[in-house]
Amino acid sequence: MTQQTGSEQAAAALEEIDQRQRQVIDQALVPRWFWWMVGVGMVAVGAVADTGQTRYIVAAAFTYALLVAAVSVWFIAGRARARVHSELLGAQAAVAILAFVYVVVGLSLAVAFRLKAGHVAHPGTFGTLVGAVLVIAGGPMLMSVLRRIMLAKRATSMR
Amino acid sequence: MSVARLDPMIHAPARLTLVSLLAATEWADFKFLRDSAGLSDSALSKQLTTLEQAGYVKIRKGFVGKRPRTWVQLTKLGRVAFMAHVAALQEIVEQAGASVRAG
Repeated sequence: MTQQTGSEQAAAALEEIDQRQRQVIDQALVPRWFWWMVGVGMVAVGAVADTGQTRYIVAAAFTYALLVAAVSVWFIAGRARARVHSELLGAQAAVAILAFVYVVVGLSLAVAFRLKAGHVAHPGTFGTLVGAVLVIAGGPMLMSVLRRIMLAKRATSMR
Repeated sequence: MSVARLDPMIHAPARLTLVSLLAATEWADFKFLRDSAGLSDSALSKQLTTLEQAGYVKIRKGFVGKRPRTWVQLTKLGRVAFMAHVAALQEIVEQAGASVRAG
């Protein structure tokens, strides 16, 4: 085997490894419809919160949490046919996810309380509407950040 | 020469594909590996058995509801061998690049 052939074969093998690991990462990302479901559900809960009826608010929040949890578990445990290695995600990804949740919840609550203080009608609906826009627009962005993190950490990048 | 460090168990094309897929996962199921690698059931079984005999993968069978499923996981030994293989490949490419630059 000449060195030229060896290096070409090695480069082809590295390319194959790279492609296969991208395949694993891409199948693990949450699809767009998930963010729509989370966003629309948030607004529904916000609208119920505006009724001021504790019973309905508790029921709506519980149903919403159950729905999101069930779909998440189905996606991760049932539908997923491979689980991305935890080392590919790591602390960086956890920070990105927590920051995303913090911004969405924080801004939604801030807007809702501000509107309520200003005696604006339907503060819960408008507050969660802001959160929903952030989730629907930011969810896919979060996925692309996670994708970048995982791609940077995959085996072929390790030196 | 770096070629000596290439792992023949991993270097075979079908097994390179499978180990690359498994290296990015905690586990993967049989169908995922079959569809991703474009192998038949029997070809995949054969390659997985070879990797299992080398101690590179662990195969677990079970059920999800009433459906039988097979999960495959890269072992610690398999992961170490894969990383060494990748490092050897990178070294070969880098050495070739260096010799071209020097020439």
